[in-house]
Amino acid sequence: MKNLAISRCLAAAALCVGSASAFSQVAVVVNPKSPLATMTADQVSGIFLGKSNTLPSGGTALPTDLPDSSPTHELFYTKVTGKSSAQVKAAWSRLVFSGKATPPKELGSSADVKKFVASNPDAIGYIEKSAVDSSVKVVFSAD
Amino acid sequence: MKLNPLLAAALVGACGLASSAAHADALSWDPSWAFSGFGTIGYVQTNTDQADFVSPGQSAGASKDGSFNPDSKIGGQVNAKANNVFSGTVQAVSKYTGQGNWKPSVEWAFLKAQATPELAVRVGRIGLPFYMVSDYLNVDYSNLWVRPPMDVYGQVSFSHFDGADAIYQTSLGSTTLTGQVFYGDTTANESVRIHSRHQVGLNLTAEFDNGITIRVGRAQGKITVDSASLDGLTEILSQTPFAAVGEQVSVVDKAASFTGAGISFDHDNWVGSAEYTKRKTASYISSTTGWALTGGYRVGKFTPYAVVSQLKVDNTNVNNNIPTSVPQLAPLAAAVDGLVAGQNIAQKTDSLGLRWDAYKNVAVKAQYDRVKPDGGPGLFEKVQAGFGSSPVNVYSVAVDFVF
Repeated sequence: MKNLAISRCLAAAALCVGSASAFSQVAVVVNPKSPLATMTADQVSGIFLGKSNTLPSGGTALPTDLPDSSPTHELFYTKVTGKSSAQVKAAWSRLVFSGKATPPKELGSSADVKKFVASNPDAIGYIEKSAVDSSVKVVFSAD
Repeated sequence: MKLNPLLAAALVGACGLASSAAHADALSWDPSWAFSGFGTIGYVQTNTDQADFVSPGQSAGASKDGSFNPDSKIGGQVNAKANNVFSGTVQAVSKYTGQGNWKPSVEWAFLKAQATPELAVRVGRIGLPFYMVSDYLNVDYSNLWVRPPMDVYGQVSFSHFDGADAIYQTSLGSTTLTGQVFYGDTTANESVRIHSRHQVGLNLTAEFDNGITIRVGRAQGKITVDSASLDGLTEILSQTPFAAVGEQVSVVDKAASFTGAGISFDHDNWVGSAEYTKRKTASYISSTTGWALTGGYRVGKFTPYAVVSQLKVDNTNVNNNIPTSVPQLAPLAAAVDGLVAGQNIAQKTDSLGLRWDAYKNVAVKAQYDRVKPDGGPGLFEKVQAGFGSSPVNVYSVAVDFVF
């Protein structure tokens, strides 16, 4: 009985891990013409949390966001910045209402993010890894 | 809002710097604008009828009769961007004022030139950066508490100034360093009007990647209180041998300063802050020290927190040596004593609270404060005789939102 319970637990855990690796990968993408090859989690967080408005290549970053309701949104902020959506919202409210920064431009879907990034040399966005194609360049990914 | 020649020159200079530094394409006309808003519906009740609990600058608030006045507010903001260099921000806030109405005030109205990625110059009406959370003082959603600890934030009710500032922000590894210098004039509408002219200030912030932020700041200026009764008292005193007392009391172009240091952290699930501040004036407005310590722990959408804070009077700034034995002088001596006694804002507060991130842009909070006035009115208003012999319990609930 006890063994059965344990094996059930293991099966459930395995299922979780399995599904996590399939869906929970986020890629940070920039324009293919960008001189950037890679970015660190700190650099990405800096831009998406409003601490920096400059890309490591020197350009003024044009960050794009996915809606709060998107699972990729929560995943990106948890994995890359280490903050929950509520914490991110509170952090941005501090910047917005002091006129210090404007939040990333919110786009409806990963397809929209790719389109925007592909047409703006200083754009930066995040999408689920499975959506990556040649229209964008991956500079950071988190599992 | 007046724009003096110095500020105009600063703006012109900033524009020049911006134009020369920016790429031609960055200065292209690429306008965008955004509206955002914030607000709080807050209810406060206390266990005393001998005084009113208020927010800074208000003259009536909550007692045993609960009130929405201390914490409720609504604000709206428009950000307009001409291109990557020039932008503007206007913010208006309606909250219960010292005159007993809800007349909206323009808290921010500035033009900003992002001269280089590191340097921004702003001209117009700008938030006064006296405290750790000055930048979003009215945006309760941004903060853990129902309201910032009054023992620190109750010392000065100036919230903005008309002038200019320059902000330099740079990264040192994963640390963000920000320096701000500002200059301007300000007015606060309490039950009387208080002005501060020729304010200069410096504000330094270091934000580390482990969630720790350190801030030090200093501001000084010349303050004036518009009060006919105060002017009358100093005028009468000037005709007695005790003109010096009148000079100590007077608040006409008197030197005043505010200095503060603070640290805040948000690491793993621990959140907290410590702030230490000093108010100094050369008038009957007492010189004070206020500090507060906050600690909280995030459990999912709930963050319980505790605060201890204290506001001390360091100096009454008035040495009342008017003899009470002379019948003609006794009323004057009593008037000065009364003024000084009213400036005893010393108090200690212990607080417990809970923040609940109920929805993605809504926080619901409840807070209990136990306030112990130290021999005077503390930060309470409409104080009656006998108040302060026992601590005051303050119960607050608030719904904060941003949109």
